[in-house]
Amino acid sequence: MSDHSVELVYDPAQTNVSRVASRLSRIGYQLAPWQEDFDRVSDIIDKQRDHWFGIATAAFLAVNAMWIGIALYAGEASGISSDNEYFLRWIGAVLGLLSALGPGSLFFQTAWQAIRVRSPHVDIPVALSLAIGTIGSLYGAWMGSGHMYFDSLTSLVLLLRIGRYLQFRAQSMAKSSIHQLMRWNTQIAQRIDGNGERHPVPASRLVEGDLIYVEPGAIIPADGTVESGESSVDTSLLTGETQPVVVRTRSGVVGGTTNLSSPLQVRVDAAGDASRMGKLMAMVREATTYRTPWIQAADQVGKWFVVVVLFLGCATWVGWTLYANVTVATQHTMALLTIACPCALALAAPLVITIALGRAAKRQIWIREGDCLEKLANPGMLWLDKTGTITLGRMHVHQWTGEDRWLPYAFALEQTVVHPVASAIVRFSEAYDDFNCQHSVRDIIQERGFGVTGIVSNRRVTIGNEPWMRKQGVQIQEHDFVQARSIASKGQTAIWFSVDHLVVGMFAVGDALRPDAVETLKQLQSLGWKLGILSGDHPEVVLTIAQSLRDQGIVLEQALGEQSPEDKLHKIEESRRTTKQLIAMVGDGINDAAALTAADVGIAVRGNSEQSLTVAPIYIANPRLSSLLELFQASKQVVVGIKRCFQASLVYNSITISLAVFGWIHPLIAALFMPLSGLTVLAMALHSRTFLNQDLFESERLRPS
Amino acid sequence: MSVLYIALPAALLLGAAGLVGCLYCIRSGQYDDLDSASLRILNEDIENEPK
Repeated sequence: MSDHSVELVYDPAQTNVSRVASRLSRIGYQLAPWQEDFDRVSDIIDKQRDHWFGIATAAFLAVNAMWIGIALYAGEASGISSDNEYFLRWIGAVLGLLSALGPGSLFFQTAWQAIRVRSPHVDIPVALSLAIGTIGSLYGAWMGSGHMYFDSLTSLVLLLRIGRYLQFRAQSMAKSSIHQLMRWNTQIAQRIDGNGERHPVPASRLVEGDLIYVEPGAIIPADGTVESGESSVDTSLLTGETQPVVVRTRSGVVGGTTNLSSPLQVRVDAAGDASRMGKLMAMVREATTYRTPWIQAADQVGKWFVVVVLFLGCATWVGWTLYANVTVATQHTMALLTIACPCALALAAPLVITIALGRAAKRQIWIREGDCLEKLANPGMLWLDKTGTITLGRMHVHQWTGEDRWLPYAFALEQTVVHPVASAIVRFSEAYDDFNCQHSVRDIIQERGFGVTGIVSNRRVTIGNEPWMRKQGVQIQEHDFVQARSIASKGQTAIWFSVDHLVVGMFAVGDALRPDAVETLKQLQSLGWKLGILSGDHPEVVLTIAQSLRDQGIVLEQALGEQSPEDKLHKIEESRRTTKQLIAMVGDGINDAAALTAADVGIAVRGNSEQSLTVAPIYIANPRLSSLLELFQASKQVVVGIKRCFQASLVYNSITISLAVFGWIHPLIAALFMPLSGLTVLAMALHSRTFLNQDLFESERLRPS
Repeated sequence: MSVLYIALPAALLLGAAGLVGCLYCIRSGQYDDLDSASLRILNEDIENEPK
C-alpha cells in the first residue's frame, strides 16, 4: 500500500462489496464508489486542507510551548518562584497534550491500526516516541521538577506534520504524472442537442448515442461513428500508424485520436471507461498497483526494520537508564524512535516504477506489468520479428537501373494505381518529376498481380513483372534477365519498366530496414543483449536482411525465415528451456501473439493497442525502433534507481540509528532529519533519468568523433 | 497572585484567536490553489468577470 492503492479480487458468491468495505474500513481505509477525476482532485484538496490544519495547529502550540519553555529555562538560571514554575509547567504540559492529541493524533491512529492488524508499520515507533514525550511532560508537571518534555514534544509534532505534508505533496505530484495520462478525456466536448445547437460538456459526461461536434485539431473525446463530414485522423496513439487515416460518413473513429483536417459530427458509441482508450488506461492503471519483486522486498525489509527499531529502542532505554538516568534514557530513546523511520525504504521502489510508467506512457510505450521493467534490466536473448519490426513493413524502391529521364513517366502512370508497389515507385520517382512538363495519361489497363500499362504523353509505358511484359508484347533481351536475377538474389522483387515495347530499366523493390534499425540493434548489443530474427518471410529475404545487418557489425545468433506462428512459439519455448537467460520477444501484436505470450517479456510493436497489451505486457505505439532502446535503458535505470534509494536509505538509517543509540542526537534534530531521508529518496526518484534521454541518437551524433 | 495568571491565558487566547482565523481561511479554501492566481492575468476570458 505504499502507493496508496490496493487491488482486491473477491468472489461474489462468498461475500459482497459491503462486507469487503467494512473489513477494509476496520483497518482504516474507507471505501467509496469509483468517482470521476475531478472528485479525485477534490480529495487531494481535502487531504491538503487536513495537512494545513494540522500544521497550523501544531505550529501554534509549538511556538507557545517554546516561549513558555524559554521562560522556564530563564527562571532556572535567574530564579523563579515555585508557584510560577508550577503554573508554567502545567500550561506547557497542557499544550503538549493538546499537540499530541490534536495534530499528533494522526500518528497514533495509523500506529493503532497497524497494531490491530498485527503488522509492523513505520508509525509505531513515531507514536511510541510521542507517547513517551506526552507522559514525560505530564509527569514533569505533576512533580513540578525534572526535565521538561513539552517543548520538544510540540516541536516534534510540528516537524513530523511538516514532513508528512511534504511527502504527501511529492507523492501526489509523482502520481499526477500517471494521472495526466488517464485524463485524456477530461477535455470539453461539443454536444449537439435536438435543435442542432452546440453545448460544451465535459467529455466524461458523454454517453452512448450523443451527437458531438469535433473541430479540426481537437482530440476526439469518445469512440463513435461519423454522421457527417470528411476528414483525416491521426491514430498514431493507438495503432502506431503514422499516415493519417481518412474518415467519411459511417466510418468509425476512436476516442483519443486527433481529428486533423475538417470538422466532424460523430455519434458516440462508447465513452469514458468503456471506450478503447479508457480500457487501455485501465490496463496501465493496473500496472501501477502491480507488486513487483522489489516493492515486496521493500515492504518486507520495512517491516523487519520496525521490529528491529522497537527492539533497539527498548535496549537503548534500559541501557541508558542503567548507565545514566531515566531522563537521559527517555530523551535518547525518543530520538532513536523518531529518526529510524524507514519510510524512504517503503517509498522508493513504487515511486521509481510509477514515475517510469508515467514517463513511458508519455512516449507511447504502454506497460501493463510494472515488473517487466525490472526484468528487462538484465540482458538476455532478444528475438525480433522482421516485417514491421526491423523493417518498415512496406514496399520501398531500393534501386533503379535505368536512366532518370524515364522516372517522370513512371510517376505519371503509377499515380493512377492503388497498390503498395505502385506507391513505392511513386514515392521514389516523385523527386524526379518535372513540374514544368505534365505528362498526360490515357488508356490505362491494370491487372492485379501483373502490372499496369497506358499511354503517357503519346508513349506506350508498361510497368510490371516479367509475365506482364510478355503479355504486352515487350521485347526482352538477355541482359534484362541477368539484371532481374541479380535483383532477385538480393531478396528483392524486380519490377520491369518498358517504353514503347523496349525495356528501359528495372525497379528493385523490397521491404526496407527501419532508418533507426542498425543503430538501435548496435546499441542493444552493446547493452549485452543477444539478438535473433524470427520471421515468417521467405528465408532468402531474411538472409539478405541478416547479411546487411551483419555487414554493419551486428552479431545475430540466428536468423530464421519461413516461421509460422507455431514455429515461432516453439522456438521461444525451446530457447526458454535451453537457457536460463531472459527471453524477450519483439513482434507484431497479432501475428506473433503466441510467441509474445510465451516469452518472459513480450513487446508488441504493431497491431492495435488493446489486443497487443493482452498478449504482451509492453506495447510500443510509436513507430521508432529506438523506443526499444529507451525501454531497456529505462529498465536498467529503474533497477539502479531503486537500488540506490535502498542503499541510501539503509546507510542513512544505520548511521543515524547508531548515533541515536549512543545518545548523540537530540530528539528535535531527529525530527528534522526524519522527513529528510524520505524527501531525499523522493528527490532521487523524481530526478532519476529514466526515459529522459530523449534525443538518443541526436546527442550521439553531436558528440565529436 | 501573580500577573502571570491573567497575562498568560490572555496571550494564549489571543494567539488562539489568530489560529482560529487561520483555520477558517484554510477551510474556506483560500490555500487550495496557490498557483493559478499568478497566471490569471494571462487568461483573457475572465477579464470582465466580477472578482
